[in-house]
Amino acid sequence: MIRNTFKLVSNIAVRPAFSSTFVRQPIVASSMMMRNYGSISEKEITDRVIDVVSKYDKVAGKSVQPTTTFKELGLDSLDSADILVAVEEEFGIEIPDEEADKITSCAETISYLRKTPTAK
Amino acid sequence: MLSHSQKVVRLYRKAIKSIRDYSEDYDMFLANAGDLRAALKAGKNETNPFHIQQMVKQLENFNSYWEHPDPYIPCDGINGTKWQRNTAPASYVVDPTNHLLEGFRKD
Repeated sequence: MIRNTFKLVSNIAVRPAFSSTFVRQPIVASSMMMRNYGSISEKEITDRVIDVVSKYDKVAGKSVQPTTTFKELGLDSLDSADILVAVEEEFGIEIPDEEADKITSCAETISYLRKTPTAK
Repeated sequence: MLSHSQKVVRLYRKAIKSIRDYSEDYDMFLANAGDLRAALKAGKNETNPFHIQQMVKQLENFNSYWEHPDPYIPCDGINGTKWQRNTAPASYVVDPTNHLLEGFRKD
């Protein structure tokens, strides 16, 4: 009887569970394993960028859209450098000079931040 | 090769960051950044190449004099406090199964 019970248990309960837990699955990076990088949504980035840009005193009173270029807001290259420093502070990153040269609009700022995993 | 305006913008960025690193509060930062901005604006319409070169040199001297010995670095940035901390381990460390046999697999 003991043998039968053992057989029953081992066939039904133990064996399938044993075999299924020890089948090797390919390692997939789950959200538990990853750092919380790149977790800001596009909407949040857009809102915060627009907030930073519209707080710049030369922009006061102008409507800032995600597609607005800095030139349309009447900003020169030094103003956009100021804004990028403010954006760096807001998101806790450092934009290298080569990238900062290319950024001339809110949309480019947003797309750069989307590409930056360390932006907070 | 950088254009003149690119060069000036980069120097300006560097100067703004040095001012930020030395400023103990935001009012001090605004005052000093305003002064720097006014100085740059004064030479905006300069056409004499000698004077232009002189002003660029002045800005470079400003940057080298005021370069902060311990600047603010974002934690994830190069040489920041989190830089290269806890990098992801290699996959064979997480799961060593079949690691040595990898070369013999048929699939």
